[in-house]
Amino acid sequence: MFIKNLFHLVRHELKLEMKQKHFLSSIVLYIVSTIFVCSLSFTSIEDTKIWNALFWIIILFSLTNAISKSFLNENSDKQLFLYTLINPRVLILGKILYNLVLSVFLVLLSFFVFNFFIQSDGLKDINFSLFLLAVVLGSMSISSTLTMVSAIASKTNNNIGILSILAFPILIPSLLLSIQFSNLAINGGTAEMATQFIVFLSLINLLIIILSFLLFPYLWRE
Amino acid sequence: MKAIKKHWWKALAVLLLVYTLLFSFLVPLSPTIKSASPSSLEIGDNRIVLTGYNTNFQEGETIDASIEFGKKTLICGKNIKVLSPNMISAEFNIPEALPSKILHVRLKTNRFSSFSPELVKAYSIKVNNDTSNLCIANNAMATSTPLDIPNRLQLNETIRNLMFHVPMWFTMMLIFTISFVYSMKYLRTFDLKYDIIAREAVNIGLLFAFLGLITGMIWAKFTWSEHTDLFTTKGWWVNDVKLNGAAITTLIYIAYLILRNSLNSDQQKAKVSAVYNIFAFVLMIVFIMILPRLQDSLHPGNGGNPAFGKYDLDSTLRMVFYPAVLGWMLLGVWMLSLKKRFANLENTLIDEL
Amino acid sequence: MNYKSLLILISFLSLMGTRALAQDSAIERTFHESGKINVVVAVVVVIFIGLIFYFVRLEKKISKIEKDIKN
Repeated sequence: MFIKNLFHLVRHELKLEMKQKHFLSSIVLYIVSTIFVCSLSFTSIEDTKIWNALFWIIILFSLTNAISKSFLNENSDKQLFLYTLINPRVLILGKILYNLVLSVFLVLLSFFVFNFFIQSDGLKDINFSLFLLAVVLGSMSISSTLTMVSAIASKTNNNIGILSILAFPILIPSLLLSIQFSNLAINGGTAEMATQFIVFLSLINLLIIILSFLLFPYLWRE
Repeated sequence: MKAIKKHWWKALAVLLLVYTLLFSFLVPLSPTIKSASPSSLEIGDNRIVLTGYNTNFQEGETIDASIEFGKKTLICGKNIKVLSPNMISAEFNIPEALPSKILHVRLKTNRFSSFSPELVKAYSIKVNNDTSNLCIANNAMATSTPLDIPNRLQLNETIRNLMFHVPMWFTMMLIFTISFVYSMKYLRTFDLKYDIIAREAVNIGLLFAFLGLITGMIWAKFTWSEHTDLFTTKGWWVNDVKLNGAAITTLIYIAYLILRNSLNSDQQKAKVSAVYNIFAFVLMIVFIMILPRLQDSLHPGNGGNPAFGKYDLDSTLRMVFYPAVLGWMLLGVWMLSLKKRFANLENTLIDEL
Repeated sequence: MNYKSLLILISFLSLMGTRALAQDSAIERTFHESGKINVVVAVVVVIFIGLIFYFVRLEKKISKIEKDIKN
């Protein structure tokens, strides 16, 4: 029953997204234009460290923008009706899952756009599969944190401003981990060298999901 | 009797802090050799002037100076002269071959013994294992071990900050933990009196966080930084794991206060901020455990250890460091209890008016 | 943060930005003399000021409440 509800919810969110295309297209446009502005001032970056840091900063801001909207529609009557019917734990898990899918898509998209506009000679010996793993794991921890914090921030009037104030300090450590991890992948590291990062990032992901699962019902109850 | 039962821990806090202050300002630093000049050795007779800190040499005192390798005495100093209470000179006859390239002068009196910084060789020393020219200089025997604080390289007197800077962080962590616990209690009962404690704890914890940051910045500037001039922005902030952790913690709790201010009703404030408090605290603790294992730190116990190393505190420092931590913690809890009682009074007054 | 304190902060930062005229000013020397004992003094003073700051804030709150009671 729980799982069934969960998938219903995720499907519902996806359907909603497909219907109102303006949201997704606006966030894609945001990513492309940000990267384009960066490419105008950089064109090519010799130092892979800077390339990497710039990439993660763009990811951080685009994900913040994308996920800040996840609890915005909540006030409309239809949504309220839906949410009174289902368990809040299903709701937060559904939101997190949906945002995971969304953020992995956005991150992969921004990687290809970023790589298209801003070249770096240092990327020759990149371990591509490991880099993808770093990007996916990192963006997962960022998006699940942002989902929970946006639920908190939705209770205030100034949603987006509060969201970044609340979320960024909590995000710094997992962002640091992801940056180090993807740096290792860029410099041709192997999976064995990155075990530490993989374990820590997965643990953090798990912990964030468990915490949201436990805490969200308190937020939801009026 | 009742008063003692109720207030004994406040008296303990005062006593411990007075003890900390007295101990950390009255106990001298252990006598050490700060420098040796000339710091390079040549074959034949070398007259080396040793400058010490807190050494207080006296005329007629038995002083041994010798160049040592490992635990073996290689060359004994002759003609030891006391130039001033902090200066002494000795003659060393350096042979052509020595068993080591790393040489230190060891100074031994009845009161203390200390090694000098490393001496540089002005010529290339032939290394041999010949230890036949060992000398025995055991005139001076350390009879009693006086109470003193170790004099470490770079740190010198600033090691006393251990009793002021470090307990700020311990107290902060304790107070934020109290806040975390009361936030959980609030979510279990929805009783606003727990929320008051959680909120006031964040206020007090932030005070200690800022004190820890500022004192840490001052200390770091004069021990780790090469930029010694005060009026630059350089050297005040070191990119160190523990500093970053401290900054993250401070930011999280400032965000907590901002979140509270942007909510309207009391129940809403209490509930939403309790959720954020628990969420942020658990993640913060995890990161504080994880991050130091990934990067090296300038702080003691670095490289994979989030706390102190086994050898960073000696027995004298332990004698005052643990009481200091306890004293500051009790002071923090005392401040918290005052703030809590005040907030309760304020609430009852508002209800009455 | 109000206008006045922002101004003070900016002027302080700009003071930090412009180096002092003398390379080794008297203040700097005091921190390095005699085993850097004055660094310890500075740290203790900062903590003392912090605690006093806490008392002042508490006093302000108490006086406000007292005023409310009177009215």
